Amino acid sequence: MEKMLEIKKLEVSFRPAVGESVKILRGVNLSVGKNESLALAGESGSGKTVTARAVMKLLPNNMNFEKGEILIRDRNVMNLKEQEFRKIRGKDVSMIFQEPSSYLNPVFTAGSQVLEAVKGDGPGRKERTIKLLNEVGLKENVFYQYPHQLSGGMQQRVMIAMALINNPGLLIADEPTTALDVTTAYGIVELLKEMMEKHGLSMLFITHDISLAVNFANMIAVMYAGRIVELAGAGEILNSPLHPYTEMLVSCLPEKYKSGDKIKTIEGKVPDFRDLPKGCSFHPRCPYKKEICLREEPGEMKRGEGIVRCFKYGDFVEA
Amino acid sequence: METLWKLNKLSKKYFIRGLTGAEEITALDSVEMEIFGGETFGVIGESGSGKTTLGKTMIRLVEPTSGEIYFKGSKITGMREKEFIKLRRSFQIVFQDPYRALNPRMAVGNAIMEGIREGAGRAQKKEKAGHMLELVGIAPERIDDFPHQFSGGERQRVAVARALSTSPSFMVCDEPTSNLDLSIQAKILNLFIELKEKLNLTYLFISHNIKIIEFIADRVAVMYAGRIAEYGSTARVLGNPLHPYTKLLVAASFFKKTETDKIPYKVEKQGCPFSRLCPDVREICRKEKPELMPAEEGHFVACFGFTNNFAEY
Repeated sequence: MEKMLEIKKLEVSFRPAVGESVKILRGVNLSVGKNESLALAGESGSGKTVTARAVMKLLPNNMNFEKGEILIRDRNVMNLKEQEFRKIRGKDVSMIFQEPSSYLNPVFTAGSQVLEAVKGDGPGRKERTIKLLNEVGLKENVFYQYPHQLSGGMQQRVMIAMALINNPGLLIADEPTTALDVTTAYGIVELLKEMMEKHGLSMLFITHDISLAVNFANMIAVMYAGRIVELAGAGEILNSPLHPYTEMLVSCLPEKYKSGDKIKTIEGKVPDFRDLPKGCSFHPRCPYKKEICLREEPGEMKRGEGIVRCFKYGDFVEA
Repeated sequence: METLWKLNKLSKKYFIRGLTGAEEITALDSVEMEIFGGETFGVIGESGSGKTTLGKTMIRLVEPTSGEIYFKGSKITGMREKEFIKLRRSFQIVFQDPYRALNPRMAVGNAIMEGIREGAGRAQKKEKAGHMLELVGIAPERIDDFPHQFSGGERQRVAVARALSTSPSFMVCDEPTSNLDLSIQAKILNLFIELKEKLNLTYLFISHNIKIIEFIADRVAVMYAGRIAEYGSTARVLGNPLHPYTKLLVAASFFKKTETDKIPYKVEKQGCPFSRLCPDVREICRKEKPELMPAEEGHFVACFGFTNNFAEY
């Protein structure tokens, strides 16, 4: 099957103002097939957003690509110049963000901002924009309105229209519903599903909300300390997680408990990238740790359709 | 169970003067409810539904426009500040954003010590503040640290310790976990449960997350446009929602398809505020506001659908 996005052994480092540079992504592998949705889940600081920004080549100045490949429609874009990548950004892959209000320019109308994104000119641009606005559930008058006149949900719909105006094959959604209310968020999730169906879109969906990820995506990748520790189908993640981190993350969901019970929590903290523990980076918090976990880093083990990085499933050391 | 709080037709209106003239915003509209001692009373609703205003009004951080509040039988509204100040120590609040709720220039120990009254000496107060930190799971040695030295979850713990410093009996928890990661959220929820048992607290727990409310609250009120749409025991309200808005909210939280697919937040000024979106709207809903009425034992709902002669409307 055609792959819309493939990331191979991606490494990204962060160069702080003082001190040595630290690796933030430490060999991320993932792929999104045509019309598939992959959710990237994990806690703050696990590297979800950095992965997304790396694909869009929108990394901040103090972050660098180190190694690895990013293939969009089987074309390696890692070494493309900005000028060349511009032809891809928005056309083959686009992105929507967590807080729509900070990504819309307050002094331009919503319509003019969507229009601006249209690649190439020619007649019918405005008509196309209005048609798309209708498609994402907005009325024509939104075209002439300014961002402050729109609610958060409507702003996110404008962002979606902007992202989809050039018919990209892949949409990266970085926590698109986190800043929204429950019912509004539901509307956005439904809209994204509808757009996937209608436009044959593939989606990389980033979220820290495991239950949302399970609802939205076919496959879920769980990130921890700059690596994907488990990749599996949505049902498996929720019901039979393999990696101890996934298992514990799922057990933190309050809906898994009766009221009055105590929620099982994960002891310890997310590790600091400057001072990652030797061996498996999850071992200080892991209840199943063995002697090998302190020394070696687990490699990727195939498990059904997915992968897991844990010595519980065999001594497969990272090459 | 003893009734701790009783709210009677509590309303709060804000007047906003802008370029286009004054605008009146109703944040609370005749809220009536009772909270029992020792329970966790959940409040759920979307942004702008009046959840936070309700919490703040109850502890008089915000003065209501009209209506009465009774705490342990005595009327708080209209009470003189001199008298109220004795009660004020029993009420505390934990805010949503632990980054903004703590003074960045104040060591956490000092922030906690501000609330401690007994033990005139500084040393004694400091010792007590250390105990508070220990109670919320932070090493007492960190008493002289500043807020920026703590992580988000730890800051929320400090905010809780500060709230506990006046030995309150009632605490408003205003979305205390919505800025936190899943694993840290679980720890903070556990902390609230643990403290409630240890210190015999009553909580007003505000959240927009049904799953948290379902887990933590004994009873719950669903708010819409400043009014209580439905309230009763959590199991009944969320397990068997009666108000059309609650039904919608529950369905959206569990990603189920609903009759009204897109849910813009449109409030009707006249009649039932939900009438514009309600799938089962009748003539009367557009004219009058429904009052809370008992639907079953301990379960109230503000909807004309539950009046006996609804079919006639």
